[in-house]
Amino acid sequence: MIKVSGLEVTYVNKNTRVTALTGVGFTLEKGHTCAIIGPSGCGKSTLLYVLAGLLKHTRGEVNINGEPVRPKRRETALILQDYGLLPWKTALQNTALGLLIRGVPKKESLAAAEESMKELGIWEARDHYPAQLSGGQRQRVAIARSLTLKPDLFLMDEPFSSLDALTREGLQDTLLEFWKKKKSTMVLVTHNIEEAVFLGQKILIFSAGPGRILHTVRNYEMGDRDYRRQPLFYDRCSLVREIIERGRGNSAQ
Amino acid sequence: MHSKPKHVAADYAGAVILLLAVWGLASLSLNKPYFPGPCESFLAFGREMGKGLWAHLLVSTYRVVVSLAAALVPAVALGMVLGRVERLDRYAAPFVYLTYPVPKIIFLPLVITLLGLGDVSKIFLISVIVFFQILVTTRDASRQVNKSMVDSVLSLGAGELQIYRHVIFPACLPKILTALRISLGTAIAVLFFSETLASRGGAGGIGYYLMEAWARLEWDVMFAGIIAMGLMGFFLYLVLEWAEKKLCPWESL
Repeated sequence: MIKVSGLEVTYVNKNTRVTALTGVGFTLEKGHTCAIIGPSGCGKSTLLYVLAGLLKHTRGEVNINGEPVRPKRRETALILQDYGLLPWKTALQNTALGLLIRGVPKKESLAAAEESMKELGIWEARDHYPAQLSGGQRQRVAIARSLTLKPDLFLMDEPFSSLDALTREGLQDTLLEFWKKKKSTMVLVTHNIEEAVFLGQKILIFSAGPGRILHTVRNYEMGDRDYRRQPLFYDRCSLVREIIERGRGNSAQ
Repeated sequence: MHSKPKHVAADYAGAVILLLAVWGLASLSLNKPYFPGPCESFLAFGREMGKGLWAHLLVSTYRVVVSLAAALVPAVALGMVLGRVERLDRYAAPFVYLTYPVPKIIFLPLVITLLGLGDVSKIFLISVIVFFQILVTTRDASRQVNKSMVDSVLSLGAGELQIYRHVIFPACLPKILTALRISLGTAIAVLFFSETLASRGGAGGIGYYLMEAWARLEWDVMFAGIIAMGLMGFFLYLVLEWAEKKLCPWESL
Protein backbone atom coordinates (compact mmCIF):
# COMPACT_ATOMS: atom_id res chain seq x y z
CA MET A 1 0.00 0.00 0.00
CA ILE A 2 2.66 2.52 1.01
CA LYS A 3 6.22 2.31 -0.16
CA VAL A 4 8.64 5.06 0.76
CA SER A 5 12.33 4.97 -0.07
CA GLY A 6 15.18 7.45 0.20
CA LEU A 7 12.73 10.21 1.05
CA GLU A 8 14.19 13.65 1.62
CA VAL A 9 12.15 16.80 2.22
CA THR A 10 13.72 20.23 2.40
CA TYR A 11 12.02 23.57 2.44
CA VAL A 12 13.06 27.18 2.59
CA ASN A 13 12.15 29.07 5.74
CA LYS A 14 13.20 32.73 5.99
CA ASN A 15 15.92 32.26 3.37
CA THR A 16 17.53 29.24 5.06
CA ARG A 17 17.16 25.74 3.72
CA VAL A 18 15.77 23.38 6.33
CA THR A 19 15.96 19.63 5.96
CA ALA A 20 12.84 18.16 7.55
CA LEU A 21 13.32 14.53 6.60
CA THR A 22 16.27 12.61 5.26
CA GLY A 23 16.78 9.02 4.19
CA VAL A 24 13.34 7.87 5.26
CA GLY A 25 12.19 4.52 3.97
CA PHE A 26 9.47 2.11 5.04
CA THR A 27 6.68 0.00 3.66
CA LEU A 28 3.20 -0.56 4.94
CA GLU A 29 1.00 -3.31 3.63
CA LYS A 30 -2.63 -2.87 2.71
CA GLY A 31 -4.90 -2.96 5.73
CA HIS A 32 -2.07 -2.52 8.20
CA THR A 33 -1.57 0.27 10.71
CA CYS A 34 1.50 2.25 11.45
CA ALA A 35 2.19 4.75 14.22
CA ILE A 36 4.83 7.43 13.82
CA ILE A 37 6.32 8.83 16.98
CA GLY A 38 9.23 11.11 17.78
CA PRO A 39 10.20 14.41 19.38
CA SER A 40 8.56 17.63 18.20
CA GLY A 41 10.11 18.97 15.05
CA CYS A 42 11.20 15.56 13.82
CA GLY A 43 9.25 15.97 10.62
CA LYS A 44 6.58 13.41 11.38
CA SER A 45 3.79 15.75 10.28
CA THR A 46 5.85 16.59 7.20
CA LEU A 47 5.87 12.90 6.30
CA LEU A 48 2.11 12.75 6.66
CA TYR A 49 1.65 15.80 4.44
CA VAL A 50 3.85 14.16 1.81
CA LEU A 51 1.73 11.00 2.00
CA ALA A 52 -1.40 13.14 1.65
CA GLY A 53 0.06 14.74 -1.47
CA LEU A 54 -0.11 18.21 0.08
CA LEU A 55 3.66 18.67 0.17
CA LYS A 56 6.19 17.87 -2.55
CA HIS A 57 9.22 15.84 -1.57
CA THR A 58 12.71 16.81 -2.66
CA ARG A 59 14.21 13.38 -3.26
CA GLY A 60 13.27 9.73 -3.10
CA GLU A 61 10.18 7.76 -3.99
CA VAL A 62 6.75 7.69 -2.44
CA ASN A 63 4.29 5.16 -3.82
CA ILE A 64 0.74 4.65 -2.77
CA ASN A 65 -0.98 1.57 -4.10
CA GLY A 66 1.80 1.18 -6.65
CA GLU A 67 1.42 4.70 -8.00
CA PRO A 68 3.57 7.76 -7.27
CA VAL A 69 1.89 9.93 -4.65
CA ARG A 70 -0.26 12.71 -6.08
CA PRO A 71 -2.51 15.39 -4.66
CA LYS A 72 -6.24 14.78 -4.33
CA ARG A 73 -6.14 11.01 -4.31
CA ARG A 74 -9.79 10.33 -3.70
CA GLU A 75 -9.35 7.38 -1.35
CA THR A 76 -6.99 9.15 1.03
CA ALA A 77 -8.50 10.72 4.15
CA LEU A 78 -6.56 13.19 6.29
CA ILE A 79 -7.55 13.96 9.87
CA LEU A 80 -5.82 16.84 11.62
CA GLN A 81 -5.48 17.77 15.28
CA ASP A 82 -7.40 21.05 15.12
CA TYR A 83 -8.92 23.19 12.44
CA GLY A 84 -10.05 20.18 10.48
CA LEU A 85 -13.61 21.44 10.79
CA LEU A 86 -14.85 24.71 9.37
CA PRO A 87 -16.29 26.95 12.13
CA TRP A 88 -19.00 28.31 9.79
CA LYS A 89 -20.48 24.94 8.97
CA THR A 90 -22.64 22.82 11.25
CA ALA A 91 -21.56 19.31 12.20
CA LEU A 92 -23.74 17.90 9.42
CA GLN A 93 -22.47 20.37 6.80
CA ASN A 94 -18.89 19.64 7.86
CA THR A 95 -19.46 15.91 7.55
CA ALA A 96 -21.03 16.22 4.10
CA LEU A 97 -18.36 18.62 2.83
CA GLY A 98 -15.97 15.95 1.59
CA LEU A 99 -18.55 14.41 -0.73
CA LEU A 100 -19.88 17.81 -1.86
CA ILE A 101 -16.40 18.90 -2.84
CA ARG A 102 -16.01 15.71 -4.82
CA GLY A 103 -19.09 16.63 -6.79
CA VAL A 104 -21.56 14.21 -5.18
CA PRO A 105 -25.12 15.66 -5.30
CA LYS A 106 -26.24 17.37 -2.13
CA LYS A 107 -28.98 14.89 -1.23
CA GLU A 108 -26.69 11.90 -1.48
CA SER A 109 -23.93 13.68 0.42
CA LEU A 110 -26.26 14.49 3.27
CA ALA A 111 -27.59 10.94 3.39
CA ALA A 112 -24.06 9.51 3.55
CA ALA A 113 -23.16 12.07 6.22
CA GLU A 114 -26.17 11.04 8.27
CA GLU A 115 -25.16 7.42 8.08
CA SER A 116 -21.59 7.93 9.24
CA MET A 117 -22.61 10.44 11.94
CA LYS A 118 -24.99 7.84 13.34
CA GLU A 119 -22.21 5.27 13.25
CA LEU A 120 -20.07 7.57 15.39
CA GLY A 121 -22.87 8.55 17.74
CA ILE A 122 -22.91 12.27 16.90
CA TRP A 123 -26.11 12.52 14.88
CA GLU A 124 -27.79 14.35 17.77
CA ALA A 125 -25.25 17.16 17.45
CA ARG A 126 -25.80 17.62 13.69
CA ASP A 127 -27.03 21.21 13.91
CA HIS A 128 -24.28 22.40 16.23
CA TYR A 129 -21.38 24.49 15.06
CA PRO A 130 -17.88 23.24 15.94
CA ALA A 131 -17.63 25.88 18.69
CA GLN A 132 -20.61 24.22 20.38
CA LEU A 133 -19.06 20.73 20.28
CA SER A 134 -16.67 19.17 22.77
CA GLY A 135 -13.19 18.26 21.59
CA GLY A 136 -14.16 14.60 21.39
CA GLN A 137 -17.29 15.33 19.37
CA ARG A 138 -15.29 17.48 17.00
CA GLN A 139 -12.87 14.67 16.24
CA ARG A 140 -15.81 12.31 15.81
CA VAL A 141 -17.20 14.68 13.17
CA ALA A 142 -13.78 14.75 11.49
CA ILE A 143 -13.71 10.95 11.47
CA ALA A 144 -17.31 10.78 10.25
CA ARG A 145 -16.41 13.09 7.39
CA SER A 146 -13.49 10.91 6.32
CA LEU A 147 -15.69 7.81 6.56
CA THR A 148 -18.14 9.26 4.04
CA LEU A 149 -15.31 9.21 1.51
CA LYS A 150 -14.88 5.45 1.94
CA PRO A 151 -11.12 5.81 2.11
CA ASP A 152 -8.64 2.96 1.91
CA LEU A 153 -5.93 5.08 3.50
CA PHE A 154 -6.38 7.05 6.73
CA LEU A 155 -3.73 9.63 7.58
CA MET A 156 -3.97 11.16 11.03
CA ASP A 157 -1.88 13.96 12.47
CA GLU A 158 -2.08 13.83 16.28
CA PRO A 159 -5.83 13.52 16.04
CA PHE A 160 -6.51 13.15 19.75
CA SER A 161 -3.77 15.21 21.34
CA SER A 162 -6.03 18.00 22.56
CA LEU A 163 -8.44 15.62 24.31
CA ASP A 164 -8.57 14.52 27.93
CA ALA A 165 -7.38 11.00 28.75
CA LEU A 166 -10.78 9.30 28.91
CA THR A 167 -12.18 10.87 25.75
CA ARG A 168 -8.93 10.04 24.04
CA GLU A 169 -9.17 6.36 25.00
CA GLY A 170 -12.79 6.26 23.89
CA LEU A 171 -11.82 7.58 20.46
CA GLN A 172 -8.87 5.20 20.24
CA ASP A 173 -11.34 2.36 20.83
CA THR A 174 -13.67 3.74 18.16
CA LEU A 175 -10.81 4.02 15.71
CA LEU A 176 -9.68 0.48 16.49
CA GLU A 177 -13.19 -0.87 15.86
CA PHE A 178 -13.37 0.95 12.55
CA TRP A 179 -10.02 -0.30 11.46
CA LYS A 180 -11.03 -3.88 12.25
CA LYS A 181 -14.34 -3.47 10.45
CA LYS A 182 -13.19 -1.56 7.36
CA LYS A 183 -9.71 -3.01 7.00
CA SER A 184 -8.30 0.27 5.74
CA THR A 185 -4.67 1.22 5.95
CA MET A 186 -3.88 3.71 8.73
CA VAL A 187 -0.94 5.99 9.41
CA LEU A 188 -1.10 7.76 12.75
CA VAL A 189 1.28 10.50 13.84
CA THR A 190 1.32 10.91 17.60
CA HIS A 191 3.53 12.06 20.43
CA ASN A 192 1.76 9.75 22.86
CA ILE A 193 3.59 6.47 23.45
CA GLU A 194 0.53 4.54 24.69
CA GLU A 195 -1.46 5.66 21.66
CA ALA A 196 1.29 4.52 19.31
CA VAL A 197 1.46 1.10 20.96
CA PHE A 198 -2.32 0.72 21.16
CA LEU A 199 -2.96 1.54 17.49
CA GLY A 200 0.24 0.80 15.55
CA GLN A 201 1.12 -2.63 14.21
CA LYS A 202 4.35 -1.01 13.19
CA ILE A 203 5.81 1.81 15.25
CA LEU A 204 8.28 4.06 13.47
CA ILE A 205 10.42 6.00 15.91
CA PHE A 206 11.87 9.19 14.48
CA SER A 207 14.95 11.14 15.56
CA ALA A 208 14.95 14.88 16.12
CA GLY A 209 15.30 17.03 12.97
CA PRO A 210 16.28 16.30 10.35
CA GLY A 211 13.94 13.38 10.84
CA ARG A 212 15.22 9.88 10.22
CA ILE A 213 13.76 6.57 11.29
CA LEU A 214 15.70 5.49 14.37
CA HIS A 215 13.98 2.22 14.84
CA THR A 216 10.93 0.23 13.80
CA VAL A 217 9.09 -1.65 16.55
CA ARG A 218 6.90 -4.54 15.45
CA ASN A 219 3.70 -4.64 17.46
CA TYR A 220 1.43 -7.09 15.69
CA GLU A 221 -0.16 -8.22 18.96
CA MET A 222 -2.30 -5.10 19.05
CA GLY A 223 -5.89 -5.12 17.86
CA ASP A 224 -7.88 -5.66 21.02
CA ARG A 225 -9.35 -3.18 23.48
CA ASP A 226 -7.89 -5.16 26.36
CA TYR A 227 -4.41 -4.82 24.98
CA ARG A 228 -4.10 -1.70 27.13
CA ARG A 229 -4.23 -3.82 30.28
CA GLN A 230 -1.82 -6.53 29.23
CA PRO A 231 1.81 -6.80 30.45
CA LEU A 232 3.06 -6.95 26.85
CA PHE A 233 1.52 -3.51 26.26
CA TYR A 234 3.55 -2.06 29.13
CA ASP A 235 6.71 -3.76 27.89
CA ARG A 236 6.22 -2.30 24.42
CA CYS A 237 5.60 1.14 25.85
CA SER A 238 8.81 0.94 27.89
CA LEU A 239 10.73 -0.24 24.85
CA VAL A 240 9.46 2.65 22.73
CA ARG A 241 10.18 5.13 25.52
CA GLU A 242 13.70 3.79 25.87
CA ILE A 243 14.45 4.11 22.17
CA ILE A 244 13.10 7.67 22.08
CA GLU A 245 15.19 8.65 25.08
CA ARG A 246 18.30 7.03 23.68
CA GLY A 247 17.76 8.91 20.42
CA ARG A 248 17.40 12.15 22.30
CA GLY A 249 20.64 11.43 24.23
CA ASN A 250 22.51 10.83 20.99
CA SER A 251 21.42 14.02 19.39
CA ALA A 252 22.26 15.97 22.56
CA GLN A 253 25.89 14.84 22.49
CA MET B 1 -25.59 34.26 25.13
CA HIS B 2 -28.98 35.40 23.86
CA SER B 3 -29.98 38.92 24.78
CA LYS B 4 -33.50 39.56 25.96
CA PRO B 5 -35.17 41.58 23.18
CA LYS B 6 -37.56 43.39 25.53
CA HIS B 7 -34.74 44.57 27.70
CA VAL B 8 -32.74 45.78 24.69
CA ALA B 9 -35.74 47.66 23.30
CA ALA B 10 -36.19 49.43 26.64
CA ASP B 11 -32.49 50.36 26.70
CA TYR B 12 -32.71 51.87 23.24
CA ALA B 13 -35.93 53.74 24.03
CA GLY B 14 -34.19 55.20 27.09
CA ALA B 15 -31.21 56.30 25.01
CA VAL B 16 -33.49 57.92 22.41
CA ILE B 17 -35.40 59.85 25.07
CA LEU B 18 -32.19 61.01 26.71
CA LEU B 19 -30.69 62.19 23.40
CA LEU B 20 -33.89 64.06 22.50
CA ALA B 21 -33.95 65.65 25.97
CA VAL B 22 -30.35 66.86 25.57
CA TRP B 23 -31.21 68.28 22.15
CA GLY B 24 -34.35 69.98 23.55
CA LEU B 25 -32.50 71.48 26.51
CA ALA B 26 -29.65 72.73 24.30
CA SER B 27 -32.16 74.32 21.95
CA LEU B 28 -34.10 75.94 24.81
CA SER B 29 -31.04 77.35 26.55
CA LEU B 30 -29.54 78.65 23.31
CA ASN B 31 -32.90 80.07 22.23
CA LYS B 32 -31.86 80.93 18.70
CA PRO B 33 -33.96 80.50 15.53
CA TYR B 34 -31.18 78.50 13.79
CA PHE B 35 -31.32 75.76 16.42
CA PRO B 36 -34.91 74.46 16.69
CA GLY B 37 -35.83 71.77 19.23
CA PRO B 38 -36.79 68.17 18.48
CA CYS B 39 -40.58 68.77 18.39
CA GLU B 40 -40.40 71.51 15.82
CA SER B 41 -37.81 69.62 13.78
CA PHE B 42 -39.72 66.36 13.67
CA LEU B 43 -42.92 68.22 12.75
CA ALA B 44 -40.99 69.82 9.91
CA PHE B 45 -39.59 66.45 8.95
CA GLY B 46 -43.10 64.97 8.71
CA ARG B 47 -44.36 67.94 6.70
CA GLU B 48 -41.34 68.00 4.36
CA MET B 49 -41.42 64.27 3.72
CA GLY B 50 -44.92 64.83 2.27
CA LYS B 51 -43.61 67.69 0.13
CA GLY B 52 -40.63 66.06 -1.57
CA LEU B 53 -37.92 65.40 0.99
CA TRP B 54 -38.61 61.72 0.41
CA ALA B 55 -37.33 62.01 -3.18
CA HIS B 56 -34.04 63.47 -1.94
CA LEU B 57 -33.84 60.79 0.72
CA LEU B 58 -34.44 58.11 -1.86
CA VAL B 59 -31.81 59.39 -4.26
CA SER B 60 -29.23 59.72 -1.47
CA THR B 61 -29.93 56.21 -0.19
CA TYR B 62 -29.69 54.89 -3.72
CA ARG B 63 -26.29 56.55 -4.21
CA VAL B 64 -24.89 55.17 -0.94
CA VAL B 65 -26.16 51.63 -1.55
CA VAL B 66 -24.97 51.48 -5.17
CA SER B 67 -21.56 52.93 -4.22
CA LEU B 68 -21.07 50.39 -1.42
CA ALA B 69 -22.12 47.50 -3.66
CA ALA B 70 -19.90 48.70 -6.50
CA ALA B 71 -16.92 48.87 -4.16
CA LEU B 72 -17.71 45.69 -2.27
CA VAL B 73 -17.57 43.16 -5.09
CA PRO B 74 -14.16 43.99 -6.60
CA ALA B 75 -12.62 44.84 -3.21
CA VAL B 76 -13.63 41.52 -1.68
CA ALA B 77 -12.55 39.50 -4.71
CA LEU B 78 -9.19 41.22 -5.01
CA GLY B 79 -8.61 41.28 -1.24
CA MET B 80 -9.18 37.55 -0.88
CA VAL B 81 -6.78 36.75 -3.72
CA LEU B 82 -4.06 39.14 -2.50
CA GLY B 83 -4.28 37.67 0.99
CA ARG B 84 -3.91 34.15 -0.31
CA VAL B 85 -1.38 34.58 -3.13
CA GLU B 86 1.72 36.07 -1.57
CA ARG B 87 3.46 36.61 -4.90
CA LEU B 88 0.66 38.81 -6.20
CA ASP B 89 0.47 40.71 -2.94
CA ARG B 90 4.16 41.57 -3.19
CA TYR B 91 3.44 43.47 -6.39
CA ALA B 92 0.18 45.00 -5.22
CA ALA B 93 1.21 46.00 -1.69
CA PRO B 94 3.28 49.08 -2.69
CA PHE B 95 0.37 50.45 -4.71
CA VAL B 96 -2.06 49.87 -1.87
CA TYR B 97 0.26 51.45 0.70
CA LEU B 98 0.91 54.48 -1.47
CA THR B 99 -2.69 55.11 -2.47
CA TYR B 100 -4.62 54.05 0.66
CA PRO B 101 -3.64 57.03 2.88
CA VAL B 102 -4.28 59.63 0.17
CA PRO B 103 -7.56 61.40 0.99
CA LYS B 104 -9.30 60.67 -2.28
CA ILE B 105 -11.92 63.37 -1.67
CA ILE B 106 -9.32 65.85 -3.01
CA PHE B 107 -10.07 64.48 -6.45
CA LEU B 108 -13.69 65.66 -6.20
CA PRO B 109 -13.23 68.65 -8.55
CA LEU B 110 -11.44 66.46 -11.09
CA VAL B 111 -14.07 63.70 -10.84
CA ILE B 112 -16.90 66.20 -11.30
CA THR B 113 -15.16 67.74 -14.28
CA LEU B 114 -14.69 64.31 -15.84
CA LEU B 115 -17.96 62.64 -14.93
CA GLY B 116 -20.35 65.54 -14.52
CA LEU B 117 -22.75 66.66 -11.80
CA GLY B 118 -25.01 63.59 -11.85
CA ASP B 119 -25.00 60.29 -9.98
CA VAL B 120 -21.95 58.83 -11.69
CA SER B 121 -19.39 61.22 -10.23
CA LYS B 122 -20.68 60.76 -6.68
CA ILE B 123 -20.97 57.01 -6.90
CA PHE B 124 -17.52 56.77 -8.44
CA LEU B 125 -15.87 58.85 -5.75
CA ILE B 126 -17.55 57.06 -2.85
CA SER B 127 -16.78 53.67 -4.39
CA VAL B 128 -13.10 54.45 -4.79
CA ILE B 129 -12.79 55.59 -1.19
CA VAL B 130 -14.72 52.65 0.25
CA PHE B 131 -12.98 50.21 -2.09
CA PHE B 132 -9.65 50.75 -0.35
CA GLN B 133 -11.09 50.34 3.13
CA ILE B 134 -12.73 47.04 2.25
CA LEU B 135 -9.75 45.86 0.19
CA VAL B 136 -7.25 46.30 3.01
CA THR B 137 -9.53 44.66 5.60
CA THR B 138 -10.34 41.71 3.35
CA ARG B 139 -6.73 41.18 2.37
CA ASP B 140 -5.60 41.15 6.01
CA ALA B 141 -8.44 38.76 6.96
CA SER B 142 -7.59 36.49 4.05
CA ARG B 143 -3.91 36.45 5.08
CA GLN B 144 -4.85 35.32 8.57
CA VAL B 145 -6.92 32.33 7.46
CA ASN B 146 -5.54 29.30 9.23
CA LYS B 147 -3.34 27.24 6.94
CA SER B 148 -4.42 23.93 8.49
CA MET B 149 -8.03 24.76 7.68
CA VAL B 150 -7.07 25.19 4.03
CA ASP B 151 -5.02 21.97 4.14
CA SER B 152 -7.88 19.99 5.56
CA VAL B 153 -10.22 21.14 2.79
CA LEU B 154 -7.48 20.62 0.18
CA SER B 155 -7.10 17.06 1.42
CA LEU B 156 -10.80 16.55 0.70
CA GLY B 157 -9.93 17.27 -2.91
CA ALA B 158 -11.00 20.91 -3.14
CA GLY B 159 -9.92 23.01 -6.08
CA GLU B 160 -8.84 26.64 -5.76
CA LEU B 161 -12.37 28.00 -6.28
CA GLN B 162 -13.77 25.67 -3.64
CA ILE B 163 -11.08 26.84 -1.20
CA TYR B 164 -12.35 30.39 -1.70
CA ARG B 165 -15.96 29.34 -1.43
CA HIS B 166 -15.75 27.09 1.62
CA VAL B 167 -12.80 28.54 3.53
CA ILE B 168 -11.49 31.98 2.56
CA PHE B 169 -14.79 33.77 1.93
CA PRO B 170 -16.63 32.63 5.08
CA ALA B 171 -13.47 33.26 7.13
CA CYS B 172 -13.33 36.84 5.84
CA LEU B 173 -17.07 37.52 5.87
CA PRO B 174 -17.44 38.86 9.44
CA LYS B 175 -14.53 41.27 8.89
CA ILE B 176 -15.91 42.30 5.50
CA LEU B 177 -19.23 43.20 7.11
CA THR B 178 -17.48 45.13 9.87
CA ALA B 179 -15.49 47.01 7.22
CA LEU B 180 -18.73 47.71 5.41
CA ARG B 181 -20.31 49.18 8.55
CA ILE B 182 -17.32 51.43 9.11
CA SER B 183 -17.28 52.37 5.43
CA LEU B 184 -20.94 53.32 5.65
CA GLY B 185 -20.06 56.34 7.79
CA THR B 186 -17.38 57.37 5.33
CA ALA B 187 -19.71 56.86 2.39
CA ILE B 188 -22.44 59.08 3.84
CA ALA B 189 -19.93 61.80 4.73
CA VAL B 190 -18.48 61.80 1.21
CA LEU B 191 -21.97 61.72 -0.27
CA PHE B 192 -23.08 64.72 1.78
CA PHE B 193 -20.02 66.66 0.77
CA SER B 194 -20.34 65.86 -2.92
CA GLU B 195 -24.10 66.58 -2.92
CA THR B 196 -23.62 69.99 -1.35
CA LEU B 197 -21.08 70.84 -4.02
CA ALA B 198 -22.31 69.14 -7.09
CA SER B 199 -26.06 68.86 -7.38
CA ARG B 200 -28.29 71.02 -9.48
CA GLY B 201 -32.08 70.97 -9.53
CA GLY B 202 -34.46 68.01 -9.32
CA ALA B 203 -33.75 65.42 -6.69
CA GLY B 204 -30.28 66.58 -5.74
CA GLY B 205 -30.07 64.48 -2.63
CA ILE B 206 -30.20 65.41 1.02
CA GLY B 207 -26.89 67.27 0.95
CA TYR B 208 -28.27 69.55 -1.77
CA TYR B 209 -31.62 69.86 0.05
CA LEU B 210 -29.85 70.88 3.27
CA MET B 211 -27.73 73.53 1.61
CA GLU B 212 -30.79 74.98 -0.11
CA ALA B 213 -32.68 75.19 3.18
CA TRP B 214 -29.68 76.83 4.79
CA ALA B 215 -29.44 79.40 2.00
CA ARG B 216 -33.15 80.25 2.46
CA LEU B 217 -32.67 80.41 6.26
CA GLU B 218 -35.45 77.86 6.71
CA TRP B 219 -34.01 76.38 9.86
CA ASP B 220 -36.73 73.81 10.57
CA VAL B 221 -36.48 72.53 6.98
CA MET B 222 -32.70 72.24 7.38
CA PHE B 223 -33.26 70.19 10.50
CA ALA B 224 -35.74 68.00 8.65
CA GLY B 225 -32.88 67.26 6.25
CA ILE B 226 -30.52 66.53 9.14
CA ILE B 227 -33.06 64.07 10.57
CA ALA B 228 -33.49 62.43 7.16
CA MET B 229 -29.76 61.90 6.74
CA GLY B 230 -29.43 60.63 10.31
CA LEU B 231 -32.26 58.17 9.84
CA MET B 232 -30.78 56.95 6.57
CA GLY B 233 -27.46 56.20 8.28
CA PHE B 234 -29.19 54.52 11.19
CA PHE B 235 -31.38 52.40 8.94
CA LEU B 236 -28.49 51.22 6.74
CA TYR B 237 -26.44 50.44 9.83
CA LEU B 238 -29.30 48.30 11.15
CA VAL B 239 -29.51 46.45 7.84
CA LEU B 240 -25.80 45.64 7.94
CA GLU B 241 -25.97 44.49 11.53
CA TRP B 242 -28.93 42.30 10.71
CA ALA B 243 -27.04 40.89 7.72
CA GLU B 244 -24.10 40.02 9.93
CA LYS B 245 -26.35 38.12 12.33
CA LYS B 246 -28.07 36.30 9.46
CA LEU B 247 -24.96 35.53 7.43
CA CYS B 248 -22.55 34.71 10.27
CA PRO B 249 -24.53 32.78 12.88
CA TRP B 250 -21.36 31.00 14.08
CA GLU B 251 -19.87 34.35 15.16
CA SER B 252 -22.32 34.91 17.99
CA LEU B 253 -22.09 31.49 19.67
